Amino acid sequence: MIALLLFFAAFVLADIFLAAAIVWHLRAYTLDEWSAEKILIPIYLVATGFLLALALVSFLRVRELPDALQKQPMQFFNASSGYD
Amino acid sequence: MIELRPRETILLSTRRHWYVLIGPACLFAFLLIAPSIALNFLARAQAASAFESFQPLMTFFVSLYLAALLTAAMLVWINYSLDVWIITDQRVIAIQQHGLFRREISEIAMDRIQNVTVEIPGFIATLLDYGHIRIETAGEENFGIASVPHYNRAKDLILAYSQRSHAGAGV
Repeated sequence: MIALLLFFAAFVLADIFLAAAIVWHLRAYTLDEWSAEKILIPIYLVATGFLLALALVSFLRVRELPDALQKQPMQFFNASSGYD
Repeated sequence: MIELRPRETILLSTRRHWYVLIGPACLFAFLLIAPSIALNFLARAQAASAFESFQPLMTFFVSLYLAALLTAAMLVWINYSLDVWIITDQRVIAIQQHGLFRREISEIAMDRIQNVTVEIPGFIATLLDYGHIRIETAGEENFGIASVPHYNRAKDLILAYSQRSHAGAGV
């Protein structure tokens, strides 16, 4: 769980850093007459925010996983493939 | 973005042809649908109840995967979008974005241009009307612009304004 938390925190930091750099570049180096970049910035930020929020909500729910696993420990791995 | 000189006007600003984005777009499309294919396969291969208990973990990883994919797609877009060539009545400016933090800006004055060569690299380039432009200058390195859409228009502009500069300078 700690490893997952550290991975998540590192990912969020890296993603925020890259997102900030992307937005900065698009704002700084885009010619006035180009419109695609101006539309892309808010779409990108909203989509990234949504995905990170979804990851956070899922991460908080992952904490319940050990109990669920204890109830059905090996069923996940030993179950029938469904193809036979 | 670029500081223009007094009385300098932009004649044309262009990026590489959109054709160069087809390869990355196909790759990203595949990477976008890959998790749903994998999850569908996994759901069919495992017991449904056990699969449900892993759902938060999968949602977590898929969300991060999609966020990483989105950022990678934006990096590719930036590389394409910020590679730009600006032809003004006084100079040609080439801006090349290498990755996120490396940027190269070179420019050449119209009165230093001696020759302009256009190369159409193949069938698709002929079909989609793009080509590579090479500008030759006196005593300096050649100046190349790759995959320029409507290359004839760019070449004609460069030639016309370089000849005008030479005439103005009494060459």
